[in-house]
Amino acid sequence: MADKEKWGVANIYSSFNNTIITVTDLTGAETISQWSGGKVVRSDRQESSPFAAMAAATRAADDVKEKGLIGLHIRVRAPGGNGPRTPGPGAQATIRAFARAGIKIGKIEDVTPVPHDGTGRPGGKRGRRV
Amino acid sequence: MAKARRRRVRDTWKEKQWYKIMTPKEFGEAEIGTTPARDPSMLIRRRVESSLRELSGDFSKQYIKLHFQIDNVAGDTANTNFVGHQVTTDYVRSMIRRGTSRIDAITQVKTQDNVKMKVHVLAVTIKRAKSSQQKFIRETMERLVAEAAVDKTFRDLVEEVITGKLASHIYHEAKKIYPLKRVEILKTRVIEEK
Repeated sequence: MADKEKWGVANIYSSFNNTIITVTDLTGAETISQWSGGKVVRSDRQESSPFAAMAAATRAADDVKEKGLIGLHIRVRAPGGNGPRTPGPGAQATIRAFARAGIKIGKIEDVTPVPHDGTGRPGGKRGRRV
Repeated sequence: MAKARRRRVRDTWKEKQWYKIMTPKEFGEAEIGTTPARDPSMLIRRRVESSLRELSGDFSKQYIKLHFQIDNVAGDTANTNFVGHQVTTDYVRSMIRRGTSRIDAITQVKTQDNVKMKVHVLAVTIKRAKSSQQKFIRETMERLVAEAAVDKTFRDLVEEVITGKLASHIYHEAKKIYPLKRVEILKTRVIEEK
């Protein structure tokens, strides 16, 4: 890596209810930018939409560029635990928006927390009755 | 109000200086990256993750992540210690299939120079093994790791783990019990240093 090239990490938490983007430095100790789907759209149900994720990501990308980073490593995360293990609709849109904004993308990794043997899923034996 | 707060955030950012993070001697003192901080004392105990590919340039070693922790700062460079490694989850998942057995062995060892470490070894068999065989394989793996640690310094042990020497040694020994597909050292962690 050259001297002037500064990299960071984009921690993307993508659930079915929202997308939260936290851009930090490589150690994760210093936050550079924090954006979420809920900060860009008005209605609650749109928070997790790809559009909201895209808008949040472009704004995060502006912060990132302003602070002099040229590339980001990506750590995608779904709720995990006893919830869904697959990232929501906003994850892909976020990465795309970063790439479109002219930020280099490093390694992409899935960091969903998976329990070795955790608590049971909510809903009981007969499932969720709506 | 909101505006004033934002301005203050900007100011602290400008105060921050960027420090270079260097790998320890065993890894050739290469630069991993940079981290900003207002004060050098704030850097200590920060952790960085780096894949082995970035350090060695070996593409086949992409799945190994190394963890380094900053322990002292000199000028604008931060020096690190090795605190553990981990194999990526997707690589582990790709090894484990249906109809095979997964045998994990987690051991706590002490190296010759009194560094306490935890080593997590995984063996994957070709076909399903009986639980007695699994138990025997697990015992062998634990024994071999302990034996490897006793007469080696911390630095040598880490090198053996990362180059895969220890894993292949375990593979050749444990293969005699039941046919194995792979042996991999999934995780190490330094618990206590001298």
